[in-house]
Amino acid sequence: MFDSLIAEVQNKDRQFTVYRSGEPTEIEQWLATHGVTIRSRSLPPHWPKPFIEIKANDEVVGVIGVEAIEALIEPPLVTPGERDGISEGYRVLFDILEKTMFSGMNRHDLLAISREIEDRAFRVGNGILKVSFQTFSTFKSQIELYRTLATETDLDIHIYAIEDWTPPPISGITYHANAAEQFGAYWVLAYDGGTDETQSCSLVGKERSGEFTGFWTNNSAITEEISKTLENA
Amino acid sequence: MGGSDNSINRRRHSVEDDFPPQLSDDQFYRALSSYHRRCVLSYLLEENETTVDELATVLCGWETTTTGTMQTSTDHSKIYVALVHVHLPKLVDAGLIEYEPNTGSVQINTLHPQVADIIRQSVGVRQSDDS
Repeated sequence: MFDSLIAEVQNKDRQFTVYRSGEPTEIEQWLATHGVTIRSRSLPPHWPKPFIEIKANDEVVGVIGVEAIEALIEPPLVTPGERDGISEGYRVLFDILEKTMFSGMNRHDLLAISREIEDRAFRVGNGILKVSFQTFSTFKSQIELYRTLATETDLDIHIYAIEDWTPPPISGITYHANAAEQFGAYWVLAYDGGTDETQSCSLVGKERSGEFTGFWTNNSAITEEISKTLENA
Repeated sequence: MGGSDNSINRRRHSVEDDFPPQLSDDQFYRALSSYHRRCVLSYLLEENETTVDELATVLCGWETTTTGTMQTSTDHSKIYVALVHVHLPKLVDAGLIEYEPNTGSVQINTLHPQVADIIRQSVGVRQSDDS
């Protein structure tokens, strides 16, 4: 269901190589958490600054200084919504910067990310929030939080879960039990940002033996795709 | 070109002499008159062997860290072409490197330590914007 989205992030044919004269740079660790495998090459000691080569399908698409990438990822991360006018190197880079990959995360970790998304929806106070809870009994433990979200805001909340428990009707919350079978393995949140699209964000995690693999993103186009996937199921 | 090759070969064999022969060779100074070529030599002094593709990346890297702007695939191609058609042949003529066009492999020749020092110092501070 969401496998293609997860795989797309992991398997794009792109290679990153850092050229540096000293110790590993922080950006290498950072890129690793974004699902990027990075090779390193050594530079002569008097070469002043490290830089990164970005290849896509074995072609160099960009060479950029480590400092420049660090400046890019300084929060708030602002990336152009319109991608037509920018070079391939930036396109590849933004694609990566916008998705934070994870694997081997547990429920506790995912709950923390989910809180961030729910908080954001609460602060904006409108828009559509869709959540796949795997089962309604999982939703049970979060029900007071979602009651607050639904009653104190104008949020339109949709809950997807397998019906192993009957949740109480709450104004502002729509339950989708029928389609949920196929989402059983996924922990998903997608918030469209309501009146403030810059606040859109989403999380997709796939469970295997209690551990989750997936990504989260602030990108509105990806968030919309996730939202549509839930809707069309 | 044959004549100058011979003289360079003779000089290369006298690396142990006190006076580095390259220092009295005009070709050597012509080779070093370009900033990009000095960067190539400086990189090769550390790596010994590389490819044209990697050299183009390394020169792009120098450019991007100086200007702060990402070097695009077009920039990379331009430098690649300049390396193949201008810079590498000049360095070969000066007897400083070996270049194998079929494989793109580039190797540095054994250089007198004093010559190597001059090359290292020549990229330490950027003197001009020639390339």
